[in-house]
Amino acid sequence: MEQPRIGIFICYCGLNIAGSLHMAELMEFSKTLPDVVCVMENRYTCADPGQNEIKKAIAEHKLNRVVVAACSPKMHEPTFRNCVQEAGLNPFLFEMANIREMCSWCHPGNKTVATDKAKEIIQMALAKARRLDPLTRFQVPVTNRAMVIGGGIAGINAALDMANMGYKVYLVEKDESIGGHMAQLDKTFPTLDCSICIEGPKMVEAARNPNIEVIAYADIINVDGFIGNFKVRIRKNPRYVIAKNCTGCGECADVCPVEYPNDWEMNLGSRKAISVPFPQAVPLIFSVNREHCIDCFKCVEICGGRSAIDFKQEPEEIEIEVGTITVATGFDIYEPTDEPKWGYGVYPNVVTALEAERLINAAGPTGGEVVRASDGKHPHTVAFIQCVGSRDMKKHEYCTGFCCMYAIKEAILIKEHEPDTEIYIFYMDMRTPFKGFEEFYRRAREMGITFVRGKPLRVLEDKNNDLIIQVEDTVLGETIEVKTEMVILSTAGIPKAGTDELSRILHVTRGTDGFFLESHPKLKPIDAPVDGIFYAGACQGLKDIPYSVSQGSGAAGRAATILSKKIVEIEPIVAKVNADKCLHSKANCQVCQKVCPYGAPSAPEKTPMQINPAKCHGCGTCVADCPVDAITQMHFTDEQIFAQIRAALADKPEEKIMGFLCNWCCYSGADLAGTSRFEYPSRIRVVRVMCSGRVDKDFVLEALRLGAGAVFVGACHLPTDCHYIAGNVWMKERMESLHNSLTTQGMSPERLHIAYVSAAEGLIFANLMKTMDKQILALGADRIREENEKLRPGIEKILGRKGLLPKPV
Amino acid sequence: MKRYKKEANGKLEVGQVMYTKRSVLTVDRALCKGCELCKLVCPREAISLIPAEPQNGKVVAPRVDIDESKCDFHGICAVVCPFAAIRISINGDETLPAVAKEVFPLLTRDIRCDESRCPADCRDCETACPLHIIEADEGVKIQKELCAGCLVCETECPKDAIRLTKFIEGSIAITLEHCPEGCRACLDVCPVNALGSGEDGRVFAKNVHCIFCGACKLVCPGEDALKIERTAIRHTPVNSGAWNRGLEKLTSTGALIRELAADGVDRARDAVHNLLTEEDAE
Repeated sequence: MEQPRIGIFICYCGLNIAGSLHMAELMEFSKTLPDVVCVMENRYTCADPGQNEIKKAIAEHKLNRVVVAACSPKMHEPTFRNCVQEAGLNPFLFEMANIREMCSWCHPGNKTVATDKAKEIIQMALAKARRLDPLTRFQVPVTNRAMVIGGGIAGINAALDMANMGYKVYLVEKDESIGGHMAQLDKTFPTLDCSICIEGPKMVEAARNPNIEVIAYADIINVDGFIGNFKVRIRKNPRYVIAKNCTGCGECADVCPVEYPNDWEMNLGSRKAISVPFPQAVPLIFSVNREHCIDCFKCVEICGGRSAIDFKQEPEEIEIEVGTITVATGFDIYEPTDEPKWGYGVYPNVVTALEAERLINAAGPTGGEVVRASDGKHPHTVAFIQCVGSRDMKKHEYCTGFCCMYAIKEAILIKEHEPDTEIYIFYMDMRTPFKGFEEFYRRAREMGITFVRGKPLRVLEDKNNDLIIQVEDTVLGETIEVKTEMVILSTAGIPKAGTDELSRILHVTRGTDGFFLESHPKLKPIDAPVDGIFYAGACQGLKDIPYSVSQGSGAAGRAATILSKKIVEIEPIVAKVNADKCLHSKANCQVCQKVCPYGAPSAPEKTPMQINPAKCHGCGTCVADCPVDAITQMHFTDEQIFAQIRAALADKPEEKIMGFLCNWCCYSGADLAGTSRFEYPSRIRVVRVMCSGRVDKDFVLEALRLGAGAVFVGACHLPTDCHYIAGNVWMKERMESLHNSLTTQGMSPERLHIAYVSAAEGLIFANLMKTMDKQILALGADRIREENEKLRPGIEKILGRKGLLPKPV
Repeated sequence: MKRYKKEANGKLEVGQVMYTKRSVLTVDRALCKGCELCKLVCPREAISLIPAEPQNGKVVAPRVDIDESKCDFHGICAVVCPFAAIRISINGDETLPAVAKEVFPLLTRDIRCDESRCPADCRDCETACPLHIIEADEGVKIQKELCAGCLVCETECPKDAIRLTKFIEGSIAITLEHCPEGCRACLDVCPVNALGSGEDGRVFAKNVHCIFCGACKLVCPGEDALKIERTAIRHTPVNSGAWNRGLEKLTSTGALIRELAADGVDRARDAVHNLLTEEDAE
């Protein structure tokens, strides 16, 4: 390696840094450091003059490494990488020393202490900078075709938008027809447009668009590959009807003798064993349900020369290649059969709101008549019960978000149809926050619909099949009983059945509510954690129609940012296997495969593992867990991190906390503590890793060998906050076992602290630092030194065996 | 939608209640003799036969059970029940959807009485009928739809006034060597007394009276002691894959082929006939 020529640029950041540190001392100190050929100071290094000075210095001093001591790398690392690149240096030969968020801002009280810490932060950055390697971003070609999973209104819109931008789109639908829940609805709130009248043309448009191939009645079997290059295996289920021969005439259904409950009609009505789920189905291809079919072949007979029916059809597997995947799988409606208090499934006149929707719908099983199942008569009184399954800690904690509106809508529709009907809506809160919603609510009240605030306790039935609702009216403050002839339950939306399987196939995470988890709740609400996969509609969280449509278009736009390129660049901070060391060839070791959530490592038997850089997200979990240290993470190598640890602990190690913080949560939380000016003791020296999964046991051992007072590992919250799906889970397992063995060897348990701190928990981070400070003081330097002496021989044996001890000078 | 099953008034009832359609299937326990025909033809495999405990030292035929979650209410079971124990109603109207949609035939229950031949005060047929469906009080009244076709009345009629044709043809044979000692299980369950025992206690079958329902075979403990073969079924004309399958299950592939061949001959004959009449017309 060439002799490092390092330039250090110290930023004043106005007074943000200069106000709390002895800047002159810091300058003079920096000049004394080895390999440093140039030290400069700037009022604002990130501003153009500051950047220009860096560029000038690179040329003038022939710098081959640059360290900027300024704010958090999360703030300006990309800025300075661009800057050095413009000056002809590889952007990865740049390192940042965070002396603002992690020093000047959080230790404003004592300039000397803060300056000492800043010196060490610069030394740590320098130690890493010396060992940086130039890296090149990977370039992968992009297949400019897209797949949309789920043909509801969100998926249809995503597909149409992408198709209209000129991209070929495969629209894959599990059911026989696209359309989703919107096709089941009678009217849409708050405008009362006929739902199928506005969705039907979209469905047809999707099917007729030459750029869209609708693959309905199909399942996703497997997804392989990475951004720009996904290979998808799809199973087309047999309809026993040849698509191209079926004219959709329906004569077969007329002669079919078998009827079975139509789940598209919420099982309120039946369909024939050969049929379409609803008349507007797209594609309009009939299918045979062989489970119910009795093989009478009447349909074959009537179909005659059209020869559309083929009872020999088999499932067909196809493979498509796409550049992006948009997941738009939607939601299911909760059926409260497990809650006896509502009487659903027991009392005939208790229905869910989606069932009521089918009753209201003129194309529904009763021809638009809202009647009671028990006697077929119009009810004179109808009660809606809100929040069935939603906002319920025992069921689903979340607010479904659209039940208030659909209940008001159905109430208005019933009232318009039968003005004499008395309608009650029992609610906890009416939530009407979007355009036209509040006006719609007012309209309902003006029509004479009665809103009663209170969640019913239970529903009982009398001998006339009328229903008695017991409810605590929270306005009156007393329990009342209301007798109605029909009860409609506004039930929650829940994650679509099969969401868990799909999340496994796509390697995308789900939140605690069961819906797909987005990459960032505020700034990347459409992106999945896996590059090249996007969400549209209710699969990511419940949404009404306009929101789903918008997100469908949004997902199309996001996908187009990839599809429109010939190549995409991938960050090079990926893992790489040293084939000589890898145990897969000899011992069939598969540890890296086990811990990798993205399926990046793979290899034929008896050959060393290979990591597909396009699949690798750069968390480093496999690097830390590799039993023979055969894997390296670029830009976060063992050598670099060991150098940082050694720089941090060169002086008075027993007073220090060696911290390993994950980039996304804990490091951001620590930054926030600084930004919020929470003052805390200055003990911690921070090594930033992309994921806590990268924190090797060896790092902790090295810190203790060097005499660290304590070690702190900060990660994202368990179980689902990790940006790399499960890096924190593997870290926890690894660190807990290390903690066990260290404490049995005499280490005080508080000296290895694992914490889960989110990017919003600056105060929690500051408090943690205060607690650890007290613990170190309580133990005392002597005790710490004594414990470390006891641990040292064991640690040296482990690290020595791996060749990780520094060579004696 | 709600599915239910209940047992009341000597009837097993399963139902499927949808807003638009209320389907009910009832099995009259008194009429059901525990044979296997319904189970054989049900395409949904919804029917099972539950062995019953012996009563008063007599073997009892198994009880029919129906899985309400599987039943599609097309009434195929009702069509083949020799005792007409199964009934289907849709929205309150009794019907057989499989027959109405012409995918299953009706069995030809052909029993006639020429009352002019009846001697005065003769009630032989009434006494003889094992299913008690004949009343010979004033004239002979026969519940035709319940007749299983055992021919006992015809045999007993002194004046050959009653004529009937079996709707299931076949054969029954007992291999006595395989019969367990003293076993009379088949006799106990036979609904039409088509089995008898001689003075030596040896069981024998009367081919002429047997309706080939298979109830005896279900309770027979001996291996290969009882052999029943159904060879043909008389029914109204039908052209349906479902019936072909049902027929094959009730009889045998050979019998199905015979029927199809006969149908083919019929159709060819009809075609020739039509052609000739057309030519004549010209």
